[in-house]
Amino acid sequence: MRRSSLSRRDFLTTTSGAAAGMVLSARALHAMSERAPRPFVMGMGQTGNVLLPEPIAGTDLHALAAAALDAAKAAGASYADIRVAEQHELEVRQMGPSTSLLPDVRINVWFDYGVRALVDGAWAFAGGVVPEPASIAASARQAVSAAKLTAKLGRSTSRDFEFTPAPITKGSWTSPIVIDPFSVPIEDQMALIWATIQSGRRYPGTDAWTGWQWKRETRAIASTDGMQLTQTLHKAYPYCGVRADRGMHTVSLSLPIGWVTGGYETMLRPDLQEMMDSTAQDALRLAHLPKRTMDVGRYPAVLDGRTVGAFASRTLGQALELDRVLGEEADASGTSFLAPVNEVLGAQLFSPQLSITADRAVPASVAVKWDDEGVESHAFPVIEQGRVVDYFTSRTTAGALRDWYQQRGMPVTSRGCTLAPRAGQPVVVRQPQMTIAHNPSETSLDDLCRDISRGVVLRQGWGGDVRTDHQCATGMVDSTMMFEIERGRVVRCVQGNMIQFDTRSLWKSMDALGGASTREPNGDMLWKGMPWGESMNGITAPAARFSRLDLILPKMS
Amino acid sequence: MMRQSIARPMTRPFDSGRPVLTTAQVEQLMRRIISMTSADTAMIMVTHTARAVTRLANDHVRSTEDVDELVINIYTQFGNRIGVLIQSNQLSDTSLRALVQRCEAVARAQMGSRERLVHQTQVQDTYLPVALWHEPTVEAMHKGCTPAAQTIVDGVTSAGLRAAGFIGLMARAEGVLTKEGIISVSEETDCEVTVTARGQDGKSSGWDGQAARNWSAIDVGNITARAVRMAQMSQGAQAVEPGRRTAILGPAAVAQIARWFTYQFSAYSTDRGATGFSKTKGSGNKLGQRVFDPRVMMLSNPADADGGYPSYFATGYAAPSMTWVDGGVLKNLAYDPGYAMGKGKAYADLPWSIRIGGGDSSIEAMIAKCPDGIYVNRFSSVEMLDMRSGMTTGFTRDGCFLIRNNKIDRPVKNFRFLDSPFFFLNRLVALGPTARAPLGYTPPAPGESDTMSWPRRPIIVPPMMVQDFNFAALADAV
Repeated sequence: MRRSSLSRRDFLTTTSGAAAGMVLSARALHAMSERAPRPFVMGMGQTGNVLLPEPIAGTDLHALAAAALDAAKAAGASYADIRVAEQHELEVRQMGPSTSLLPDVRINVWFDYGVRALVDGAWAFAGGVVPEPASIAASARQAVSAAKLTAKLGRSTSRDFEFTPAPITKGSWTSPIVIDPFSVPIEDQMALIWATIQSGRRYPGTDAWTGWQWKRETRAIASTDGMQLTQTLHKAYPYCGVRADRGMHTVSLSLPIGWVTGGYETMLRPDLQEMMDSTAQDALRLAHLPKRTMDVGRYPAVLDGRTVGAFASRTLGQALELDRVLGEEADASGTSFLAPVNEVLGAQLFSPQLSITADRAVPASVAVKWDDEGVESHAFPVIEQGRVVDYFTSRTTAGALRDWYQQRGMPVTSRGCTLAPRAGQPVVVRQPQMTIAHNPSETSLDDLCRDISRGVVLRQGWGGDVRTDHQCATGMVDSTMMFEIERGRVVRCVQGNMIQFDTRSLWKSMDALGGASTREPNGDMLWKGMPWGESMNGITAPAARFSRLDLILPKMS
Repeated sequence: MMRQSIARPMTRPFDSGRPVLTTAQVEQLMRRIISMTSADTAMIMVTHTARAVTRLANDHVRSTEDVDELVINIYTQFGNRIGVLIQSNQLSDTSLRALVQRCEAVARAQMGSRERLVHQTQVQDTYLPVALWHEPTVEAMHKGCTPAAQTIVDGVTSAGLRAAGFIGLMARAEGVLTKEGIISVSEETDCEVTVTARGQDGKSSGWDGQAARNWSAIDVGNITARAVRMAQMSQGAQAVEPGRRTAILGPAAVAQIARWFTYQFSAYSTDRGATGFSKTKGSGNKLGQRVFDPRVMMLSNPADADGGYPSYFATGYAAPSMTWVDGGVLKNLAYDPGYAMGKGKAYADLPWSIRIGGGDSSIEAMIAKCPDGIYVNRFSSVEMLDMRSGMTTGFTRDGCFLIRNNKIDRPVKNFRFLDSPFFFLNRLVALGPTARAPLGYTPPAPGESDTMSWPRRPIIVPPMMVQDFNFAALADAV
């Protein structure tokens, strides 16, 4: 079994200017379908790299991509693009109770691709899992064939929205990483996990959990326009937290370590064990608070950074996805309360304190240099001082904002917000990493609570707590981390209440922001499309105070 | 126009008429992988799924999608050491052999545990015969669904409304094989069509759908006509005061709540006081007690004529036909194999597919008996907030109407609801005929497995009329 040793020059001479059908040499065909196993040593000290196959080279992925694009063009596509990717995952965690070391290791290897073809204004998509040029070319022809059938209906998607142009880019990018987690011995990782857990369970009544998942993916993105991009993404998904039990009252707190781009260095923080210890003390303190149900009513509320992020992701982030706004998801995840665009853009809808910037290039778990249509990511404002000034767009939707962009002297282009959660899934518009602006003056969570005579503070919110309707216009929050404030101090744990809100009123009522020290990252897993697909998003937000949140009391048995 | 028959770009060699592996090929693949293992025990699971989807939005075909997915799970274990699981979607012997060897390297280095090797005591079950594969669905996957798409768009736009929709077809082959020789394989097809018709001003919306394993049972024209009618009736919706009212819930609404019973019937959770079937005080369950109205019956049957599902679960245990509730009395709970052996009970899978028995009423008859109530076409974003009480929330969507003086009075704005089937199935007024309900967009909610993909297993329910249903708050969404 030979490793692929085909030089780029060899490859180009066999594939450029292809006329029709399969053009790759037999040598390339063989090399790409068989990869020599990496030698390994049994026993202690295995690393992820030893356990997993050597990643497919970007050039080999592009060779597969070229096979598809050549086939699509030959079959009659006016445009086609493709994503081809291989992903490796390594999860290391402690299994079961934290009283004895029981490591759990999981590894995943995944290859897939998805090709999108445009014929006479009709789009079609085909995806598969076989890393062979013949298979991938057949998928491309299938997509073209399906698009042609749709085009004959006269009901194709060229419709009202143009396919905006994008610069034809070639290049490669690797997410910044210092220590490759796949090169760190698993036993060393388990030792760190074990030490971290122990630092979170020093106090009677506390327990802790720690683990992490590493993902690396090499994705080739290419198009018949000549785009040719390779992105190698390194993502870290740590989960560390503590639990304090006091009788029937349990408080679970997780560390403010978000899903990030990066490697093992993300877990080698010198303060990790100290954070676990202080979080355990915090959890114990909260578990010892008395509990009660508050009266139904309207209260001022302080939300910590993580909770603000959860609210923003579920209410604003989804509502700003332009395909939802335009009705493209009407039969699936829903539409948006931020519609129609001409009534929303520029209007003072929310608190002037609210400003949100989007940027897929920040080192969050969703960081990329180019989106899955090959559009380079840049930071851009979506909400400025309470006014929506942009949406999350793609090449197939950005044209709907033509008038607005031209009015502001901006180019009519996608903001690079597309994502295929797996290469073998269709490309959809997804909210990128968002950052909510903080207060330039240092204002802590305690400062925000100080002037509240009676209210609530919510901590450690996550997206799943925030349940919105299918336009993100109203919602409800069921949180176990809600605490009562009396005369500026947290005095009790709230039990049995839920929060009900109207999205516009909620964000209008934001009247104070926390400073830089209150900023916390959060990640959310969101679903969209039909069939539904998941994707992660990231958001960083400061704490904030809201002048009014409605507390309700659901009747439970 | 017939689509060119193209060999699906999948694992080969392949009969180009079949979009997924045959069950014989699944078995062959699993045996090939098992032969690579040297572990004391191993388990291989293979799932090969092909999907053909047409999505409609804004009166157009938004896109068509053809996707192949392959998942191979390899689990190996040495002695009483913790097992190791790897997942891949690659078929080459080289990849698989390398992965198995590395997986076993980790497994050998694992620590011991008290984890029982349950499947070592497993015997080969025999399975209920089921017929889940239907050639008309496969043919439709090859031909494409452009005629159906045309029917939807023409039907909705001719009524002056905006069309959106989903036409999905699926074929799947899967299997489980253990080193001890336990083997089970299955194949199935499924399809679903949903249509959303919206007013041009975005202020009204109607929806309808149908799900079936056999494409020839799907009536796209009827689905479209009902969605259009719902949208037309929904024009001019007004807000009415939230509160408890008599509710007539259409099958699509009932199905969204019924799907949460999957977790409620877990014997393990119930015995620990964690479900609505747990005893009110102390531990234990309510087996043998009346838990719902006497007209309520719930069962799961792999050979159900309106749905059905593979007749095995986990590592090849037979999934029996189970009656969970009969005459309102809790008859059975789902004991997983490990727990069942400890309790001396028969095992069963959780009811991922469920049938709720119907009655001799109808939606029209229910409306005619209702002086004051709400008719709900559909619920969305449904989540169970509390397993113990069954408290569930979600929103009405795509058709919600006030009933006054025994007839539909006017369309009303949507509501958030907050109620529990453990309450409202004891306030039952009437049940209608049972049929498999369309679910439409139903991604996993918190508390559900996030690997739950489309299509979900069949949920077969009647429309029902219940008293004092809690329409807790208004919702602005249309």
